[in-house]
Amino acid sequence: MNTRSDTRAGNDALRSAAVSYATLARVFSAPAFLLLVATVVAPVFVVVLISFTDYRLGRLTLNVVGLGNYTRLLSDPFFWGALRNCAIYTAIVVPISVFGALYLAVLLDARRQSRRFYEIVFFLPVTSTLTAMSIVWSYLLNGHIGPLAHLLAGLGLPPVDFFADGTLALIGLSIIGVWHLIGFNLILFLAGLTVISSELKEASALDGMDGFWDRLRYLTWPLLAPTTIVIFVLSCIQAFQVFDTVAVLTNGGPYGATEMLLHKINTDTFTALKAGYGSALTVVYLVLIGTFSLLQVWLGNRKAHF
Amino acid sequence: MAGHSIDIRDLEKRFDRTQVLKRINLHIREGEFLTLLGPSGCGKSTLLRLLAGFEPCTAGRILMDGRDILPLPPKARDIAMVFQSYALYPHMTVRGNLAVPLEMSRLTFLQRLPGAALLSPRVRCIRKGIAGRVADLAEPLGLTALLDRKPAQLSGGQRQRVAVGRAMARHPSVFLMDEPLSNLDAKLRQDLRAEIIDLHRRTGITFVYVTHDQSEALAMSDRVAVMEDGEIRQCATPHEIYDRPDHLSVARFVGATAINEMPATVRLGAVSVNGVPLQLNVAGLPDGEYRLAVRPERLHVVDDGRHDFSLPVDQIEFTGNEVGIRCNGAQIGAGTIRVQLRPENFARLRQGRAAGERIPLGIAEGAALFFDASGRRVSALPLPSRRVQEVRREHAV
Repeated sequence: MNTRSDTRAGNDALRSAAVSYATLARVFSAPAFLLLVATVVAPVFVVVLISFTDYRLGRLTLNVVGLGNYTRLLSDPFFWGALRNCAIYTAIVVPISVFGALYLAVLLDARRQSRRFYEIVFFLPVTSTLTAMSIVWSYLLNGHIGPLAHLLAGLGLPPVDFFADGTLALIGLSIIGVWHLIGFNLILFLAGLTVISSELKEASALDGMDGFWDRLRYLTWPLLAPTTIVIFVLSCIQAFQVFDTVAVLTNGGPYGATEMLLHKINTDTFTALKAGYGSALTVVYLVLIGTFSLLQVWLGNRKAHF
Repeated sequence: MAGHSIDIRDLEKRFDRTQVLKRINLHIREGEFLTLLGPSGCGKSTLLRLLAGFEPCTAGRILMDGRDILPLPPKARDIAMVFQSYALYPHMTVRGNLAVPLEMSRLTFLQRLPGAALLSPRVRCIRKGIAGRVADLAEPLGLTALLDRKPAQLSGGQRQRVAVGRAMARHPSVFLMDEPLSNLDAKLRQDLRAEIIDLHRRTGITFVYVTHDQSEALAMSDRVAVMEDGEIRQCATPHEIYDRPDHLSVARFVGATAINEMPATVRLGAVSVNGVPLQLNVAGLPDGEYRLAVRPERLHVVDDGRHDFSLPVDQIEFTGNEVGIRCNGAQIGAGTIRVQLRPENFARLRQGRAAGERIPLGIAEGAALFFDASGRRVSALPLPSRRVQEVRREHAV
């Protein structure tokens, strides 16, 4: 080393300075990192570990059962029922809340003075407590005492009780889901619409795209495509997480017709105290939501197409 | 292609309480290159947007070749427009951008549905015509190699050409341009300025051009309409706008170097500034206080003693093709007085003189402009002339 020139020594000094800089950076970010591990990463690991045991909530002992919980899960008709209900619910709620919000956003974007008012009105459901609003909805959709019942009776139609019938109960929950989600999507679409400058709209009017459908097809829709993808995936995640309305209104009934994944996890883990089995369900749920999230990241990265 | 004439009569525009345009009257001749010039907020862009039909006007009429166009939607007005931001469709290729106005005008809603070209030979034929027209548009603009690119992949100048191409697609009779060069760098602006003038000459259609750049307006236009506070102050040829501004605000706004202003007193045709008598006679101008304005290049260095005033030099700037001298005008009740000389004249002046001392200045013949208290020009034609006895003296020599 002694025979080497000063520059080499200088380089070494620089490198050690860089190392200490990196160490310093790690030290500073350690609290945040540890907090993240303790609150997010560790619980997920614990859940995965518990899913391989027959642990029951409150007990002090547990046995490792390997993939036992998972094989039981695959042969459990209520799990498949919950998954199916979740899928149907998502299939109803997502398209209506996404395209409905797009339609409303395009209409609202053309308004000047009333725009703020409608934004607030449509956003109110997002800010409200869904648990409390579920009770209001149960009254609105009630087959005997609600305004819907009076309307149907007034028209001479037979009464419809949403939460007594299996198929209708799922539709009833979907209506509330759409009501709750559409305002959020609307705000996102309105933000996306700011991409379309007034000059662009004027240019399109000059070029003959002045009809509602022409403008939607040639200008608004293509330019909103990246926003739409994000909103679509977010809505899927939201719809898959449906819980409050189920817990308050139907409790999964009648006869499991509205049993959803999150609600089943809750029932199995905290009511039936089967923590091991509940953890296996949670792992399945995490994998599904994780897939949606990955889809969003992947599609989001592709959006730089103009 | 032939341009339309445009007749704007008593046009007014009000946003809520603020009056943006106040009774605009303007006749634009067919095939003319007319520039709306003014500072930002003067209403020039609003006027253009009313012509295009993007906004309704509060009162007045717009006639195009005698036909009232106010009830027509923008697409039916036989106009095209190039926007300041170019407003290209970012999700379409250059080809798509050029083709869209043609598709919208030549194909019906059903014919534009995807797959229609497969089913109908007529649609195929129309689409072929559109493709041909796009190629014809792209060729002279140098866009043929760029047809498959998206606007984000183009330079500023290329985007501007695409915007021009899209505007020309439907053979408009009137071409509106809203500051199309303001987003470009200086060198490119010069080139595209020439291209736009060339486009105007080739097509022969009516151009209405909006800019806040006075040199652009003077260089390009057949006529310039200078706007201020929602009114047209003066509409005339660039020469008249520059040499004979009707209004002090026009004189101030036009010209690369600020015009020199000084308070002047007129008594029986004799002019004095701050008590210093000038070698000027303005017969026919009533006695009173005026503002006298002179362009910097119309002030000369006068060595023979017959100068109007002599002022101390503050600063001398050499810019290659001219020399700018800034003098302290406190003596004549003005701020800085700017003089522009050709370098060879300056070199002659320089001999035997050091900067920092006084230089004797004279106002060139016919260059003095008088404005009254309201800012209106009062120096009636004929132009203010040199004193009669001086002319006589020159004859004697």
